[in-house]
Amino acid sequence: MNQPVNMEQRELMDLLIWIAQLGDKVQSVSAKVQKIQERTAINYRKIRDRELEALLLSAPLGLRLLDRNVFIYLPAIEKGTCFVPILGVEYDYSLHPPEIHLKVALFLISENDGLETLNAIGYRFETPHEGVRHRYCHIQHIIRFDQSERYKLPGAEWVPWEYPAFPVDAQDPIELLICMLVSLYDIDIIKKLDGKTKTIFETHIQRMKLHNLNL
Amino acid sequence: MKKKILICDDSLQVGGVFKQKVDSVESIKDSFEPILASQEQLEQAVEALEARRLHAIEKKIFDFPDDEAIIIDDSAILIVDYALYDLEAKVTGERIAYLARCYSRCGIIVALNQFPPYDDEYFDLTLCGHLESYADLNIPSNSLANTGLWTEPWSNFRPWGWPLLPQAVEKFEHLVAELDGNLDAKILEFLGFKDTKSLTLPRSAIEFLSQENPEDMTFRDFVDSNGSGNGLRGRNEQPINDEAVARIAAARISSWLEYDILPGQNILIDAPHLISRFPSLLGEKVKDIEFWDRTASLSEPDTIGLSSNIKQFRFDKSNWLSRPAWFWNDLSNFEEIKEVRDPWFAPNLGYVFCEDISKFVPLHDARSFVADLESPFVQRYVKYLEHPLTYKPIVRFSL
Repeated sequence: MNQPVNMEQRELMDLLIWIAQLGDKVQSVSAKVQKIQERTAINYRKIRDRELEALLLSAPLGLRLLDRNVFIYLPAIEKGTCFVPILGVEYDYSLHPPEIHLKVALFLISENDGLETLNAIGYRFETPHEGVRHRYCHIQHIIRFDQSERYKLPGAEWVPWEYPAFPVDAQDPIELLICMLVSLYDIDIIKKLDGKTKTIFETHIQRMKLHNLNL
Repeated sequence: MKKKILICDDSLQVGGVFKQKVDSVESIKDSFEPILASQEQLEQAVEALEARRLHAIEKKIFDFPDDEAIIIDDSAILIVDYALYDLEAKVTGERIAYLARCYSRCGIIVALNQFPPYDDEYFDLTLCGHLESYADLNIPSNSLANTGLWTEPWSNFRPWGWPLLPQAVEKFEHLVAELDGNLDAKILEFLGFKDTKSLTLPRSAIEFLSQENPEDMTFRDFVDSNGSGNGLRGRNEQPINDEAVARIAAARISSWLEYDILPGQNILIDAPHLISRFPSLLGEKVKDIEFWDRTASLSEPDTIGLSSNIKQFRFDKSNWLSRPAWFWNDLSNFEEIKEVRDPWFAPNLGYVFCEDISKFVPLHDARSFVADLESPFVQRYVKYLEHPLTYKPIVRFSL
């Protein structure tokens, strides 16, 4: 039986499903994006919105997509360096305050002497941890999605992952997710909002210092 | 007794050419007998099928009657041309395919020349197939003489999506038997798409089963004229009996798996595409392209040289597809496979699978294209054979 959900959990679900659908709505992608998506899909399974919705509803209190080897494929970014963001989500609403870990890896193809290599750089957007360090919403680098070898990001071994932990203007999981989306897509994300997600954005952005987004 | 291949055209001369092509395939001579229907036989058979349809609506028949459509009932393979302008019945080959599928006991239906460039052999770079057609296979008539359509091994042009027709005949009858007593089973559950597996199917695919409740759709409801719209189609149409329901469901659902689910290679995956992603499944034979080619077979997996530890992920309704397949999501999460454990250091051996010749070649001998599929795995390869074969739509090479 599905567990009851509060308003914030419902908003988080709506946003995550909307993000998953955003990736599906892109009708045509460049050959480079296609190549990246095809290569990553072998190891990072793309979750479809139907499956994501069922998963979220079955576990509104806490979920780790990685446990099912599923990821949300975000729309590719082709301004400047072309990369495909792939998102791993983990949240726990049984904690006070609730925690969320949004691990987003940006996959790109780099060319060296005519040889194409898949590389990635990753970030985690996180709410405050329990304990003494990082007791604020922050962003850090990641070098893997989790401890196992299979989730190691290619070419990211050198990246410092403990520090820096950049503070972020967010107070809860929703605001952190909005920060992640604005980081990736800038003001363009606003143009993609639908009725429901626009309301969520409006509610939260009023509290955040993202005044120039002009919803 | 030899199985019958019934060839139907409105012209005896053109039909005769089709028959010659089938006659030229040596490997089937012991088991199949090609027969060319006369125009009169075809007219009468179509009329009888239409009568069966009307009588079924009026609930006047409950079994396949002994009428002029019996030549269609008796055919293991029905080959029908699309353009039938000289028939008085004014039907297309597609209409005959529909009537034969829904109101006869025929086996596999092959429609000829329905799609451009019609009779000339071509390779369809979309890899979409023609699920909208009630024929089990749509091909140009010039492909009838291609031995790769009938038997293994093959050489030169042989689209990977083709079944082997003699094997398809056997499998179809097994399907009909499998559905005996299972018509009220839920389709997805029956096929092994249990629990969350059905949620991994794309909307575009699942809506073929039902626009409202695909997870709960049974074989019987799927066939019902008020059901999916992809079984019986005409207003108030009724099946003759449960055997007819089974035959329609078996043909339509197996086509759905074959043309809508398998080509994406992201829900189910067949052996050559699996080896392309996880070459380590070939073990020590991985450096020899001959062993890669062995996986490009429609035979059972025990004979194609794949590691046996993936047996548990097999799509075990093997008669529902023309080739062995596995559940991709389970495999991609199986850490006993080297490339799953350590994804970024897999050796690239440079062989690619060519969909037009159903064989592997070194990358530099192949040409890539982008298939029109709802899947992340759309970059595919062809050997690109020369004229007179055509590839369409050619724009898919430049995407």
